[in-house]
Amino acid sequence: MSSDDIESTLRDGLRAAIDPMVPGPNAEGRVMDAVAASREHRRARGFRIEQGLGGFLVASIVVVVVGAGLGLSLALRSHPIPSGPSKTGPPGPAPTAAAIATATPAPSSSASPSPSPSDGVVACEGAMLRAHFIDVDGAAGSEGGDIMLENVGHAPCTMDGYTNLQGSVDGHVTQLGVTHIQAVLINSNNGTLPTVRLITLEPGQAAYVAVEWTDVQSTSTSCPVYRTLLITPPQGSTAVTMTVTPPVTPPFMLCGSHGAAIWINEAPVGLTRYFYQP
Amino acid sequence: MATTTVEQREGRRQTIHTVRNEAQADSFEAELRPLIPMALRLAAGMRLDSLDAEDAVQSAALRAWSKRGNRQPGTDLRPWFLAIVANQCRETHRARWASVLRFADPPEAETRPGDNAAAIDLVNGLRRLAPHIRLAVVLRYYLDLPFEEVASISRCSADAARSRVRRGIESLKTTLSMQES
Repeated sequence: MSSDDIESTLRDGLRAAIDPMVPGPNAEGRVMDAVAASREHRRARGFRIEQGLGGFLVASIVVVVVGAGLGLSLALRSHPIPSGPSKTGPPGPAPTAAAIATATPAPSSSASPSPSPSDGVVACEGAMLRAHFIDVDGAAGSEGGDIMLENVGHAPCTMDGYTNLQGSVDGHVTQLGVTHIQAVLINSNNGTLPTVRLITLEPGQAAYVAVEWTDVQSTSTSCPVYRTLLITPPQGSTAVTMTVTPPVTPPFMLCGSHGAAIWINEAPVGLTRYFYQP
Repeated sequence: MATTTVEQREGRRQTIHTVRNEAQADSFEAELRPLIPMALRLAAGMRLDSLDAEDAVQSAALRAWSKRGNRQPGTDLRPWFLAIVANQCRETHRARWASVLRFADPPEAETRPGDNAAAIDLVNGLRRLAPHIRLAVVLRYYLDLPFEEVASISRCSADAARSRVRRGIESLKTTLSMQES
């Protein structure tokens, strides 16, 4: 075979071999949907961050401007203002430190930023929380439930957004792929998912993360089973460990479903139990 | 008075920033979309599995979107994005489930290489190639890219790309000869 023949044969052979494995025509749409979903999520978060930064910047400038005005005002007060033609009289007394300290600025409606609920409150870390799996629900292979994150610390802490989920088997930790959602879960019990927003957890108070997954094995590959989950709060750097115990059976067996590969839907952290049924 | 002006300026700055970001994101998505079919073909050639290929491209697209600011202005998106896809194909080795997003419109049923024996032999031959060699062969003979672009995507020189392709052909020669006969 000549070099050209080999190249031609290789081209034809690759087409015959690989073309049937190229994802179908809908794959392009799914990929772009994923990009759009990610963009939407980042936009929502970015907008809040920008708003926060913008507010902080404006407040900082206001403080500096007002502070400068106040300083100037005090500086002027500390020097006697010439009044009248008496240039030969003794100078007036210098203002005392107490006088400066008790001077009050003119009232200003926008002189200082109003404190936000999270002022001085740290972001929740795994060590501050205790995690339980509650409100387990599901049917036809779609399991769901609320992960309860209880603040067991002595101070309030904040969370905003989605937790990170990892599964652990025999000490081997695996990052779990999740779909962040704010719309509808398949097991839509109360129909209202929490939105991404800052929440403050007082000591003893609990937050909830609604999740759902499937445990139906649809391929020949056995599904991984996780009895321990590591949950990292949205702004945290350490995880809280949650051991999954019955009635979650089998515990977090994550399978593919609906013709797709394995998935978990995860809602943002909220203060209400999504799967709770009175 | 000064406060209002500062707030107005900050508001305008944020609006301009947001509009500019949105425009850049729209532009990036518009540029990215036509490359997805080629990326899916590349991933299929690298992963040799339909679902793995889609996962890899999805992850690569998300990564490219989030790193779009790192791209040098004026550079062609295709080699930049296909290089990310190629990297993703190497990194997501047997880790399909970790990166999947679920949609109402699920992927098509898993497909297999062409049913004929020659196609199966060729796929087995490709599996035996080292990933960087397979990448060069797929880019050159499946996607029909010039050596310069093969090199750019493979992050090597054009000579190295040619060398990799030659080595790939040498490895597959027996399979190809059998097909020819």
